Amino acid sequence: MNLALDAVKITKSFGGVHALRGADLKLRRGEIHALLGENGAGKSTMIKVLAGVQRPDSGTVAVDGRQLTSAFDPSDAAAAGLRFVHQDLGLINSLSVAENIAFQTGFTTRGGLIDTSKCMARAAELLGLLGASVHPATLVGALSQADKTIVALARAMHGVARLIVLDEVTASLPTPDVTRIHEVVRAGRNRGTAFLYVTHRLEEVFTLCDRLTVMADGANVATAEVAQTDMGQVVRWITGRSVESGRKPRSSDKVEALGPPRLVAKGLLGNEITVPVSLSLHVGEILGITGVRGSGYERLCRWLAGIEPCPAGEVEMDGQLLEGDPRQARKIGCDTVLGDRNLAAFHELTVRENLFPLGTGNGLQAERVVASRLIEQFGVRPHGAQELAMLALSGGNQQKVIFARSMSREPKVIVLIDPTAGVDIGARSDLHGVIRRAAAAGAAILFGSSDFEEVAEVADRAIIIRKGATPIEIAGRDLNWDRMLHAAQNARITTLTSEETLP
Amino acid sequence: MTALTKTQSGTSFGGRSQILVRFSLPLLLIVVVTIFSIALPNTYPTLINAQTIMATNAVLALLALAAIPTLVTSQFDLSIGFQLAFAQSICAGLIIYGNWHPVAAVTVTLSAGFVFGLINGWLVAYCGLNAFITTLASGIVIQGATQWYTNGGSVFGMMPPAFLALGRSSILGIPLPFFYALVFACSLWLLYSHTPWGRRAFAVGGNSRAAHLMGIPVERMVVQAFVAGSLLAATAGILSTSILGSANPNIGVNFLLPAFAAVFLGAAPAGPGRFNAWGTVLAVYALAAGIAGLQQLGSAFYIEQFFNGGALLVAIGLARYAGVRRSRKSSN
Repeated sequence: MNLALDAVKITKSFGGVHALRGADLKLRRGEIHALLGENGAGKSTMIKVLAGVQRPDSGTVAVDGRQLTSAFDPSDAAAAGLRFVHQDLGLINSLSVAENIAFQTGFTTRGGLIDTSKCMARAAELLGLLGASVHPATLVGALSQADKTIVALARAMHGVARLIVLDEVTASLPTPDVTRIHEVVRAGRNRGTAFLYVTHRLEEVFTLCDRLTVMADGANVATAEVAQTDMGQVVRWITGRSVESGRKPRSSDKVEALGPPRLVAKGLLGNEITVPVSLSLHVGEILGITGVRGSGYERLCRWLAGIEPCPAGEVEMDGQLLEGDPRQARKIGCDTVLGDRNLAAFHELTVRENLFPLGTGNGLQAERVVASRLIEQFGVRPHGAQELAMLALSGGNQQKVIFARSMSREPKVIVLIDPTAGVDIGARSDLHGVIRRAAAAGAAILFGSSDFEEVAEVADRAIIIRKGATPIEIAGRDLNWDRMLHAAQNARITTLTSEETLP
Repeated sequence: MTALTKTQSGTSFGGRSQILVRFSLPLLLIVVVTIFSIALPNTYPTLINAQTIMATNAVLALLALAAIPTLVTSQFDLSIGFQLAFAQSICAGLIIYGNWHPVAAVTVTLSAGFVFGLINGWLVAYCGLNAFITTLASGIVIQGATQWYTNGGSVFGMMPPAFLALGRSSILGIPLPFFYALVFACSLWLLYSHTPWGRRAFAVGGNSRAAHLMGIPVERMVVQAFVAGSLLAATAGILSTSILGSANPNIGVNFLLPAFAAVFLGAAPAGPGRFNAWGTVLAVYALAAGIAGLQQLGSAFYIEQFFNGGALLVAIGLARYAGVRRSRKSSN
């Protein structure tokens, strides 16, 4: 039987930098194949080569047994049955689902005019293949992120789709939505299409994928059946080292060991939050704030960080009222780290300017000295990056710069909102270390994320925000992925005691 | 690991061309002066020619500097050319027709510029209007005001010699207006490269939402940028009054396009969004030196437009090419 994809000995270099050094990638028909590796390992270049966007220096690509010409372009790749869905999805919000799909499949016309009902029917058919229930007439802008992803997937299924490359499509989705995407991908696989699945979330590999290939330094280091490997092995392949389990030792007396309260919130209410939330954050503590997307956990974090005014209720830091003005929050020592780099990074400015966007007033020389110390301390790569534009750094390194910016101010309260979104596993564990050290040094830390796995790993206790229901607090041994998922989905929690539930 | 090897090879491969890009404007100026000095050995490399170029382009240099504050914050002030014409007419009119003391006339002109910048900034920052359209509209309005005040004709007559001396004297053979341009360029450079305020302005321009979340008062910074630009444009207008000893209400458009050409040319080697004072002044004088040479060779008056536009297109083309090469090297 032919392989769905057979890429052999692909090399590609950019001005002396070897992005790919003879990498192989082989996918069987009807399998979901994970492509893993740290940022800079060569995954993106490999995908660009497959898409016909970058021409390889050498090597061959065959799809379903048919060799592509050495100079194939994006339209040749599409004709051969290769499809690509990137994280940004490439949908137009102001147009309907059917129109978005028709842009790729071609509009059905009658007498030169668009036949709307035919286009709708076509879109419904493609969505139906994947068992999705999105209505073709809906405006894409009105859909949730998960539904948008499903539309992009359905669009990729048109024609003879032999291989669909999914490039970090779940990176910004909360866990329950990821499960929905997985169902859709399985439906596609069961129709015989192969999927190349690029992700930084390792647990996805084990719940969804059949096989995996790990890349490092421009070459494939391992290809394996998922069933015959384990998380530790995969991490070693990816990083070339073993990442120690960052889980803190937890015991039941942890709660008594808390420091004095630093941030106290009473009766926060408004927008998605329909049940008042009260909580307190203590010195030296990492408190997880989590929930599914749409639960309002993100907005709650913004209120607690004092960067957005809360319609009802109040947040006090050391007895001082937070007004929802970023300026005031920073002034009194409450700092926010956002994982959404469009809200946190100044892409065209240099790394040094990103470290000190407010200026220091101490002169450039002093600033350069501090910048190189921070770059060293936070392990920002490449070395000596301070005069490089921020956009020249990988996502993980940009995030380290954003962390360094906040941490160097030694704030009393740090609110992290999805702080490791789109960051590779090595950088992620580095950032977790930074968070723990800051807490150990006496900062009070709020860790907002929809990634239950990560919250369970980093936080001392967690509050799960649920739509239209009382938030649930989980701590100690109960703080694990399963328990959090159940709680978030309003499932009955059998062992939760009444003291652990917030008033 | 990979990132490290990348930059190492990146510097060894791209170092020389990077330096070439960085110093392309001084190089351009040197090349232009050398070529015309060889072609026109009797008229071009002379003190009088240099003095003429320095003096006649100082107003343009000031106006080009006036475009910087708004551009740094990712805004756009299209009205600066018309503000220059307005300032020139008001200043000349108050002195000649109103018999005002020059100090009073200059104060009123600068105050008018301040208020105009405040209005533009308020409309853009607090009312959320598009800067390009807003300043196009307010520019047309202020041009109308200039025509109204001057009745559409030139303003000329007697002016106090002391006021004229400010624009027409020179020290050690170097015309005073050129000094003014250098002083303002130096101040802007200090402000934008060495003060927290300047850093914040670049932060606002780079990503205004991130700047807001960092606690930077974005709206206030934008208003300040418009006010700074308007004050510089008014200063350019006052300087031109003192050089000319008269005013022409219709010169706004003539200055507007060359000023913007110089700012963008000055920013091209520094990278996207890197508007800077020294680059701008260098660009003004490199272009002026080229145009003066071409005109002495007998080119027609419209060669100026071809040269300005052509140079800008070549510069942004080269900057883009260099930028693409840079990003290819550092991304994967």
